[in-house]
Amino acid sequence: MGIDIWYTFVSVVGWFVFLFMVAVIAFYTFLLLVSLVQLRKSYQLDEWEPYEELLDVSYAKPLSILVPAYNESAGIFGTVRSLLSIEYPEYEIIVINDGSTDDTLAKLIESFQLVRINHVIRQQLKTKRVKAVYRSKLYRHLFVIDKENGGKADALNAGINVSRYPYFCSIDGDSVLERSAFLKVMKPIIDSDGEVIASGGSIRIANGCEIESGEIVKVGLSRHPLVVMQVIEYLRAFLMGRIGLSRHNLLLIVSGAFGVFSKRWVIEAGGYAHTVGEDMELVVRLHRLIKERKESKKIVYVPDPVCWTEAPESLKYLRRQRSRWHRGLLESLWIHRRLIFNPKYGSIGLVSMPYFLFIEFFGPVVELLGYVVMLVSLFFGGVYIEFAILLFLLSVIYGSVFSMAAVLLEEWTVRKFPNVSDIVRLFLFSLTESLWYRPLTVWWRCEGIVDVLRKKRGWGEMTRKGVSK
Amino acid sequence: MRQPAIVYFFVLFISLLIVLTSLFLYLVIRKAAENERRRKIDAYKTSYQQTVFRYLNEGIGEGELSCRSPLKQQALLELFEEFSRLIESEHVQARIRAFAETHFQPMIRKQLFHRRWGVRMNALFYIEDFQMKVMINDLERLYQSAKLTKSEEIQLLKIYAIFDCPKLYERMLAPKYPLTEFAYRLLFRHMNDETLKAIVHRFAQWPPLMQYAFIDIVGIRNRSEYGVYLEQLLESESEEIRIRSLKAMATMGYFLSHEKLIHFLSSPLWQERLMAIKVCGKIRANECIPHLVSLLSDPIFSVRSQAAQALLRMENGSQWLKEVATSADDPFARDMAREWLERGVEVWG
Repeated sequence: MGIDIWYTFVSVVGWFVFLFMVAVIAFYTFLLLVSLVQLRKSYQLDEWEPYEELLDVSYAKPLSILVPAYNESAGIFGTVRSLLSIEYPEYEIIVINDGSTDDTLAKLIESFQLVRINHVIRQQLKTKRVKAVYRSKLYRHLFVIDKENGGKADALNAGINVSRYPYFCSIDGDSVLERSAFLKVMKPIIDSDGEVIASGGSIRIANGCEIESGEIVKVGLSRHPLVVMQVIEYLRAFLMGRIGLSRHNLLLIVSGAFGVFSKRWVIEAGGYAHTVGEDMELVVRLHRLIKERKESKKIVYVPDPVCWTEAPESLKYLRRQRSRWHRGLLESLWIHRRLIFNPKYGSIGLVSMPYFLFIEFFGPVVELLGYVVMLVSLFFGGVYIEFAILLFLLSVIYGSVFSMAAVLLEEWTVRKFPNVSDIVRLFLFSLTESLWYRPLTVWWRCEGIVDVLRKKRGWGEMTRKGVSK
Repeated sequence: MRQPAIVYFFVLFISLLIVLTSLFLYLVIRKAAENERRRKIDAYKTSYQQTVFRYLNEGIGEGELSCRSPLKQQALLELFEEFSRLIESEHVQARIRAFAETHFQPMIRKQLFHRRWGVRMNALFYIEDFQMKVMINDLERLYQSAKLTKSEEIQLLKIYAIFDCPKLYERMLAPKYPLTEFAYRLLFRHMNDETLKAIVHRFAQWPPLMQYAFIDIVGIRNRSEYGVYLEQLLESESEEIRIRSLKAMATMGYFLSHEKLIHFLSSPLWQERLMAIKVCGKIRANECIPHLVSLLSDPIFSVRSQAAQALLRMENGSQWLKEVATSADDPFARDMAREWLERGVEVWG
């Protein structure tokens, strides 16, 4: 009798996992097809011609580039150097030293001959106190803000206050941009007369690429299996996921590492909030504002401009990153929980938010359940073994097959990797995803959820801040 | 029940893997072939470079440039495109055009009607870069085709503007896809002076976005002959048109009488105040100094900032600012004056 209940229980959970996975696979397939059509359309399009016109100052809208820095003494010089040589007609670079305890500021002052200026700051967003504003004697469009420590969101808000131009972009201190990245990411904004209020590019992994003085010289693939798997994951997330979502204005993430925003809209939305995933939270808030004001503004993703960033190479840091991402996701969903299934917010409320809640957030939990059911079924024997096999095959489709498809999609359309051997390795590695990498990330993301549940107090504090916006 | 289900599923799974693997093999082979192709093209480019350069400069050696194999043709196409970007001189451009019209035409025509959007766009870029007027009928055929997309239309109209095509004007008024202001600006930017002059009297019939773009371009292209016209537009009922006209005047430094300037300096619309200040600064309208000083206490931040910036350009402007910085009652005005005194006259714009 008691055993029977267990059998039934495992069956029910098993079928639930099964149906969930089938539904998700269907959704991913839809996204994959949309991306495929979109990407094939612009296949072989000239790299440069479509953007040449935008170099003319009279068309391009000026841009403020914000670089928040906290104890980045090692990398900050390279980042700023690479930004000084980007291709864009009119821009300023604002480095925000967020109360670093190392010699970040001293290094900047020395390398770029900064002098303190008397700058009136328009406090459109509330931030921690700004101690001083500096300007470079060598590069007149380089500014540095020195402020009291207040976190990344606070630093970005301070940067927005000081910036002079109508659009801004935030760049992480440790990333490298392609020289034409800004032209490409600004194109939809300029083309649409400002109907597009935020636009994000692709993030790819720099490990394995040759970088010289802040510029990618040759794209390559790292030898490290963990990095290769992350490369595949990024391809999948960007090429497959975001194009499909962007096409229907469902995009909820413009990566914090590389995205351009309309300053006016961000200020009206209240700026960045103090959350773990401040980039996603801001985008959700912008969507919310668009819907509440009933305006026809858009947030888009552009696959081509690429920002190269360094990926963690050790399990320890990767684990931390994943669990942090998952916490950030939960926070954004929690702050904006009222949008979920709310018809007032149109497709964002009915499709995007549920997608992120059920597939992105609960997905790992269901997958973990699937692994458990698989193991238990093996013990039960008989027909359960077949069921275990069925679940296993499904999870391979869910994990490996889509990743393989993403690798092929990349090679069929974007083609950033020059070597044949890179593609072969990517494909072979993606085959193995379900066997080791996928379970690992699933486990880490579930850990992220547990972390949140454990630290209830800290969590409560954070929600209060977000809601008050 | 479950037994056949799992079998089906297994079959499905295996076929998925087979499909993906064969696609993978195809792509890998293609990549290897493409890499080889690219290597050859680059080799041809290196070997042709000198000859192309000599042909463009002296007009000799056309016979040595063979377009017989597709790879060689691609190499030449790329070389010519690179040179067309590098060398501005007129006789070189003429030779590029002549060569392109004789040798590249069939190839570009084929691309122009390719089913993939990216390839068609590339063909349009080539036609623009090489100034291939000979292809005007093909362009017309593309314009009429059902698959024309918005970005192709804009690119086509831009080529029409560069080629002075008479059909451009009516197409701007009745485009296939609604044109954005950016598109109108692009077209006005490339239109020649005669065409511009010929159409301006119909300004009132244009859609607003086209009107705005025209006003901006008058400023950007510094066409002072339209200054008087802009001055008439200051009487317009549309706020946007008045603001843009002021902005264009500021960009080209049009001498607006100080009565009119003062009228706009005290406008209830802050954008008009801002743009009027810009005009004052640009033309150094010293008569307006008292107004500018009082605008240092304007409720709008950018107006205060602009007023300080403009004062700096005036006769004794920094004197005025110093006075405000030390003795004004309004702390905002004091701060602003201080900041600009320190920044000095920067790039004016």
